[in-house]
Amino acid sequence: MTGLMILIGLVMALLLLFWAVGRGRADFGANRAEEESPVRLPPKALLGRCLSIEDVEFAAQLASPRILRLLLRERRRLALKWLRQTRREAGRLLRQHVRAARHAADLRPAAEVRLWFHAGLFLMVYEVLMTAVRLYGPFRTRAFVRSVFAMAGVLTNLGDRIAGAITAGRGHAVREAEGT
Amino acid sequence: MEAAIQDLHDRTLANLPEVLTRLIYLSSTRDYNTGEYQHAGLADRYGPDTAQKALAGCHQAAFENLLYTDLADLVRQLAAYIESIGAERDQVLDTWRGLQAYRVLIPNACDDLSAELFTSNIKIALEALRAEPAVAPAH
Repeated sequence: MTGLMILIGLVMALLLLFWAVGRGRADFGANRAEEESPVRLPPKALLGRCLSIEDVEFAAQLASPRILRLLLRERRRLALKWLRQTRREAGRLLRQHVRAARHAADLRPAAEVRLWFHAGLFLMVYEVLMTAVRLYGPFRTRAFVRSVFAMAGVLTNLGDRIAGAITAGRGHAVREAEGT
Repeated sequence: MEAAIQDLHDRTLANLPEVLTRLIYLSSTRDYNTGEYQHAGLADRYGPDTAQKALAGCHQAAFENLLYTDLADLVRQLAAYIESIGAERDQVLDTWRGLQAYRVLIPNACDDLSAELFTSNIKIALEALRAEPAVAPAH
């Protein structure tokens, strides 16, 4: 049973990955300059601000439903934007890696598999978070906010791991090229 | 550059009690056309390039500090600022809302998402001040 669930998870991750890479390729021609610019994953702390319970409590105590609604609407919009931007930057990082890997003479299969596994996991966490924030908004319950924030942490860590794996790969390639 | 930042802090920023007032001061030293910072005293002492970098760095730091300040504190700082300039509170709130003058507080190197969160927070803080005239600057 557990094996079947892992298999389904992996298949879903691969499907998401193919979809993401394909979409990136379609967008690529139009935005060459943007694609080549340095990748900047948005800081997790920004999402932390968007999900601040203290802000909601403050707005609630103002006894103005209009302001509370405004705050909730704005924070949901910004949380979704944070997620989209994180996803876009991670996608760009992967596409830059794919382009670099085409010309690499020393691809390390184990590192590549690890990288694509992290990328698949990243996309799964992203889709779960997007759906959760869209459906429930970022503030439904404290527990929910905590879990969203924890998952955002997973997302950020995966983004960092992808960046780390790619940087390490590039360093290795440079060392190989320099013969050191 | 560290010396220039320390100088700026000791001579000027230390006299400004809140992050919001520091941010307003620092953004007011920036030319709206060229985006360059102007500070004659600092430029004389450390050279124009260093003064430029010091002001830009302090501006960015103050902006980030305020961006991560919670809403209650932002509203308090805004109320204190409006009180300190001695203008009619409702008039200031109307002007800030209408002209969106707070957009000039955003530093040049700021990313889109941070800028959006900042302007969103200021808009909500302005609404909060309008809805709750009794929000007092408590120290």
